[in-house]
Amino acid sequence: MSYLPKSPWLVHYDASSCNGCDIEVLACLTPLYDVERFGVLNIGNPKHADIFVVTGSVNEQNKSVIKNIYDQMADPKVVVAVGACATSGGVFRECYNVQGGVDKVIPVDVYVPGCAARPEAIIDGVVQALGVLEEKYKNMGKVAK
Amino acid sequence: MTGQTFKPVTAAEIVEKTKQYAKDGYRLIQIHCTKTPQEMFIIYTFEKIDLSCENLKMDVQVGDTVPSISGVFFGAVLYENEIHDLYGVNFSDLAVDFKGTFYETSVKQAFAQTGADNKE
Amino acid sequence: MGERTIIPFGPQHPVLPEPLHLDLILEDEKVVGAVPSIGFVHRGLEKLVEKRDFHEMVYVIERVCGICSFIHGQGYCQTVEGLMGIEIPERAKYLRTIWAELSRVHSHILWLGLMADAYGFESLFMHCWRVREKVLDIFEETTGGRVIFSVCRVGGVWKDIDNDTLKRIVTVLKDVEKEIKELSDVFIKDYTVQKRTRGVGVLTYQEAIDLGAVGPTLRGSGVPMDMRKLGYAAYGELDFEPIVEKDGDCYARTLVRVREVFQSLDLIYQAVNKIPDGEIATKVRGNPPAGEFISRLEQPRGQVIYYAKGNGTKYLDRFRVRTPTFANIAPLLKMLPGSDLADVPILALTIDPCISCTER
Repeated sequence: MSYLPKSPWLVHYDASSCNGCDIEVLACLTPLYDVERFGVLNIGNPKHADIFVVTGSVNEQNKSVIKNIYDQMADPKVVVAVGACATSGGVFRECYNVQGGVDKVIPVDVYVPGCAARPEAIIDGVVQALGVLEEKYKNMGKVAK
Repeated sequence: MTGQTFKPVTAAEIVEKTKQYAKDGYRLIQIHCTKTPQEMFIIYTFEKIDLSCENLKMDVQVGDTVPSISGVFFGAVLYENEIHDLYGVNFSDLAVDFKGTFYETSVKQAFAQTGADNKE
Repeated sequence: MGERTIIPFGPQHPVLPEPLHLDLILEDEKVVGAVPSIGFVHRGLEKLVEKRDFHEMVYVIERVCGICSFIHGQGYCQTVEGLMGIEIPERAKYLRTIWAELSRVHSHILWLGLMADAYGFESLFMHCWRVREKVLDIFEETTGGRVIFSVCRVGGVWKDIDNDTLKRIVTVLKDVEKEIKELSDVFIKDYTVQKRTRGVGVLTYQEAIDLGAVGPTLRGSGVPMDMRKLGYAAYGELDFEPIVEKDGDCYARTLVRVREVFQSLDLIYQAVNKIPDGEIATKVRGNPPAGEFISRLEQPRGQVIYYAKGNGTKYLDRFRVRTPTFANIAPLLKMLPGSDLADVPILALTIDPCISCTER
């Protein structure tokens, strides 16, 4: 990838994750990994965000929260599911209160493997998400220059 | 390691016993419930500043009503609401009663069913 | 008296890395009450004990929390070993101590970073996390993982750290110590930080005891309780005293954590000097017998309690974790009333909340 036409902002939500992936998502933003060099900013307001990073699996109570954050985001938007739990339920798959991956509630564009997902993998996922974002722009009829 | 004895206690005595522990300088550090196919009980753990600790063990059944000790130790509120939501044991005189909304789970009182039959 | 307003705080909130939800009852800008509601991260993993045998369960328990994962694994193993009457080799005890203290160092530095972020000291946050990466590198080198290690097993540990590596770790940690020393001056001496933390959210000695506060929250209120003094793992052979501050405010709790980073580093140096050679695991025969066992350990966030009940098969009847944040919620509810709305994030942070621990 030679350049990025946009600097996408991301909003992060911890569904029922064990924190392992969350601190790795945060670690991505800090000096050693520093995704800000790609123009990626971590933002608290879903309405400002282009990329929705979800860690952890879906349960009864956070289902509506995830849906709510997703609905608040402006189109086009991309969802990145980080870690084994967010992709499939992971080690907690058989727990009674876990319904599975994030794709049970909202459409997921990029899946990042790992338990916990490594920062390199997360960055790779975010960079792939940028590609999907571009694609979505084009499909919306807007030309990204 | 200290604190491996479990003294039996009944629902009628629990509040008095707790007050006695409070007077003796103990504090509540946890309450939890256990249900196996054979038995079901609640364990109360008290701890002193010198790190010694004691346990009380009370037999209960799903649906029983047990007096709350949250009047003595406020922290008990959280444990008791948890046991109510996960095990279906009721507590009377709770200082803060969440009425079953403390944990919202897809299976109500999930821990009240023992899993002996769903073992692989 | 102003009108009362209820403000929902969380679960998705910029200052919170985790979904804690509080309903704050306000009179103008002053908080007069708070009602927590939890369950956003509840997975019910204690129930998995019926489906995973006691060896596999280590990996599930480690994932109670990704920050204190090592000590969860250690606590589980220690409890099951207690139940089965297994004595683990000395070297394994020391290795567990070293990893546990490294966990404490990384967790406290992480917390200091989050605290800096809550003050609005963005670059300080970045510096803290930069230093923390050095500790994570040690973890990666010795266990293979950065946050989830899976290195504890019932009967000992899976991996050994050879003595040369241990020596090298000490040199790296000396560097970390120097850097933390510089950074900690901001937390301790900076005027703005003191303005925001001194006298805020005071928890008195008696309240801390009665409400069941644990860890730095408890020691920040002057109560010298530290579960490591029980002498589990190798702590009985190491020289340390619980770190105590008297004031019970946010500043005291910060100070306790800053000083504990240095204490933990010192414990690692001591352990590296004393570690004996030998086996790292004993063979485990049979299943956990019928019986029950309680153990208490010190997490970075405070005391954690494990309870295990065996029945003679390879599945335990019950495994229970009482995590430190669960115990610290009641003290938090006590600290909040009387504070300004703008101080709530800092207050909530000073108990170092770990929600995935709390709800399991």
